[in-house]
Amino acid sequence: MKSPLRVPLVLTSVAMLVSGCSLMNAKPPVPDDWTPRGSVSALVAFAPGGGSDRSARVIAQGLNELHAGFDVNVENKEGGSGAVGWASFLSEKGNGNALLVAETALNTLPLAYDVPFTYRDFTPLVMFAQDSRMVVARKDAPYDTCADLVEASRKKPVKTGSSGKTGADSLVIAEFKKNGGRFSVVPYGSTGEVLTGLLGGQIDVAPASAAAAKPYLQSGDFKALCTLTDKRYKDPVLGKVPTAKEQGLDAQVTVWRGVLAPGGIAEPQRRYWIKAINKAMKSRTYRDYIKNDLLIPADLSGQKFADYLDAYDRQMKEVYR
Amino acid sequence: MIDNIVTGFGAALSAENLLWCFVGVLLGTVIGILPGLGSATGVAILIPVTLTFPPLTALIMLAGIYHGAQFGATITAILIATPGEASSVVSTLDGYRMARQGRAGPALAISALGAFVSAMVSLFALAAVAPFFAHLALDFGPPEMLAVMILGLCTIVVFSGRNLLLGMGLGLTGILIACIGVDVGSGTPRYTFGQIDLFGGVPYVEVMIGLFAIGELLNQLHIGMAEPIKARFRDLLLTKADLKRATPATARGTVVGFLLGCLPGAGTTLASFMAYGAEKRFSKNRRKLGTGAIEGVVAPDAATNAASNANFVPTLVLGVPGGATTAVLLGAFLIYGIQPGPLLFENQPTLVWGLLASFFIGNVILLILNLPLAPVLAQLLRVRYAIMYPLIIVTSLIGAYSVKNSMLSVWIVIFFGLVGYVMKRLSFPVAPLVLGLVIGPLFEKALVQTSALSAGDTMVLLSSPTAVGILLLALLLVAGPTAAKRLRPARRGQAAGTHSSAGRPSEAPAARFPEPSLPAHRAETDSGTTQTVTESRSDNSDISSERSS
Repeated sequence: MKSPLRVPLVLTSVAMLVSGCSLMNAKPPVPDDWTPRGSVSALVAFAPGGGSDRSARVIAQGLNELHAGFDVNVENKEGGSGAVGWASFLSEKGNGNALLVAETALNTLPLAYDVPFTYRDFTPLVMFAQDSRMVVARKDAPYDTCADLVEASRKKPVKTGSSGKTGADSLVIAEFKKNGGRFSVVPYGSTGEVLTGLLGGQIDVAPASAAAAKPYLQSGDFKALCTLTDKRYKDPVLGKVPTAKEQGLDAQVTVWRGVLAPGGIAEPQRRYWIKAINKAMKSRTYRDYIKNDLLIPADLSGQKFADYLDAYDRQMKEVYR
Repeated sequence: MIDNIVTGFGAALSAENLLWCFVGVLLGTVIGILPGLGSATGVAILIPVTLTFPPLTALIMLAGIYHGAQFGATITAILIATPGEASSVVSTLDGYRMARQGRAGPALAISALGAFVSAMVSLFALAAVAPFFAHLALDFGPPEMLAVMILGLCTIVVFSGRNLLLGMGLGLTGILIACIGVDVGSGTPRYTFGQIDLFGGVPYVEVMIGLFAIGELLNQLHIGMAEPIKARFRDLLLTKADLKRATPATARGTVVGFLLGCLPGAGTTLASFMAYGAEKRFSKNRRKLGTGAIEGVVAPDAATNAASNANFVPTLVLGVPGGATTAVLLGAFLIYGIQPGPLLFENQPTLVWGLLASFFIGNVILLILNLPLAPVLAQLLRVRYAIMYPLIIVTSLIGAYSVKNSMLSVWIVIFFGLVGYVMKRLSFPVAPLVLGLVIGPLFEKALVQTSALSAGDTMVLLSSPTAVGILLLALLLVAGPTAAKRLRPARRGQAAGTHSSAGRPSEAPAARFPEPSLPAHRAETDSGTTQTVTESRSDNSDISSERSS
């Protein structure tokens, strides 16, 4: 039996197909004075409460304080040391209303695992902070400097902890191995766990961020062997700690934190975000964050950030060879 | 200790703090009721809201959300077998049975009361011995954690029901599912089939929503229960007998919860499972557990609360969160410039003790809010299933999506919903699967760490007295009942006899379904494992008695 609705149905579907095509073809070019409107998502590929999440919330708050007619929401999509979130960000291609707050693992993850993305799939906007590591040991440890540590580890591998294969801790260990050190690495879930392991005497030394290590140095539980920074920290407590370079080791670790946009966004969109993020970095929230977390301020924008990532990637390829 | 508590209350007891604590508890309860949207997500969503507050007020509100969400999760676990948090999975075992028997009111009330009592006790314990327990946590290295996880896996025996082999098989299946994703040791992706979404593993919250909410719903549809439960008003109130039975269970739950909560990384889920396990072994009414026994509701809830309070020891002192929510709260601490560590208690006493005092206040508010509300909430079950079921499905799927903003989560819920349905039809116990899934990753991590520490020598497990003690406990848990039976064959019949007469007449609704008439010695070997048998039977008998009354 012929359905009475047949003709209208066919017509509607044809109309829909045609209108769909026309909509797709008629994507308007992005105007030069483009501004984001409404809700902007800032993706973090790590769980709420972590270092990445924290940095993203600081940047989001800084951007929202500009009151520029958009609202940045942090969206956590964790899993696989960042792989899940970053892979999903591929699908945002061309979307000017999406941001990604990422870190070093964006370089190291594709070198360690088979993932469908590299940092080149995204548009670098602004690198807003750098961090490094220091090496701490219990106060009664038989070594006082990283040079001692490397020397001792040549005779017998030293037990150390690491909070992840693609994170800063494994870079520290790689740097020391380069200098002839030998380590047996116990995997932990976070820097907090690594430090607890050190406090409990399960491991001998631990790489740690300055912010996490500082309270233990103040309480006298730990002593700092060296920092892996370029220069010493400008801090009353940590300023006394020499760098590994000062101790005659060729060892330095830098990790970055930055904001990226999806690949294929329009030039006005890229320009807008670079400007907005630089403005957000003038906020008190941001400055407090850098100060409290003992981070190294950085502001590499656009092409400079892209060049930095290229250089960083070459360096990481050496480590993850 | 006293002056610390006074400092704390002095800081926390301002009108503004009380108001935000109340708002937090209320919001938390609502968040907890929505499946999937657990306290971790709730706290994470609301952190930005609290940024404008002074630190203590903000933390008090977040802690209110934390406690509220935990109770909210229990509400749905009891009423519609949909645990909002992993830690309330165990509450479904007996809580949901009670609700089906028309005793949702007492189940909710006793859960609130038990949680309150354990929160109070654990807070005082926390105030008195927090520094000591921090050191205890330090002595818990990987080998000791491995022993704890072995003990945890041994509780599968308790949850297995009649068929031990089946339970162990399901537990292993759970561990196998937990193996999906990037492994902790070498960082190799396993069973991911190139799917990036699977790198993070199969999250147990989604599995749980599927197994419990969707599975139970499909099962109810199959049974074809047309009439909602109508509970008489007097069944909604707690009886003296209920309180009497709940007291020792609360005490046991609190102790188990507090000790496990002090361990870094152990979390509240393990505590609730272990507390239920302890009930199955040590409770006077252990044979009724699984059929709607009040002990089975109150013990895990008490444990969850005690553990979530004790969790703040490793979180504040060591900077190692015990669970997902404390991890988020740790992030909040950092935002407010509080760096957890050994000096936190000395450097910022007002903040720390104020926070602990606010837990106290939050729990009081929670009790005031929920005790009168319990019978009212129980009336939710009167809602027609034509309205209720679609609501459950929608909130479950939205909740699952919201956990990680991922469609994969929704598919996981649907898949495990079907698995849960099949398991229910076949009378398979669900708890061992969840337990395997929860403990699997923790077990593996401890195992990898232990073997990295000792260069592959497993004997290191026996070189630590703490680990040996825990392993002996595990052995007792597994082999204890059998051994006891062999040693004292004469007392067997006597013990079983006292049980069938204990406190039954006062619980009319509980006695509605036929008492499983097992020979005394069989009941002893299975020690309360009649769950799987009575499960389907009790449903049907419920309907018939509802209709006839």
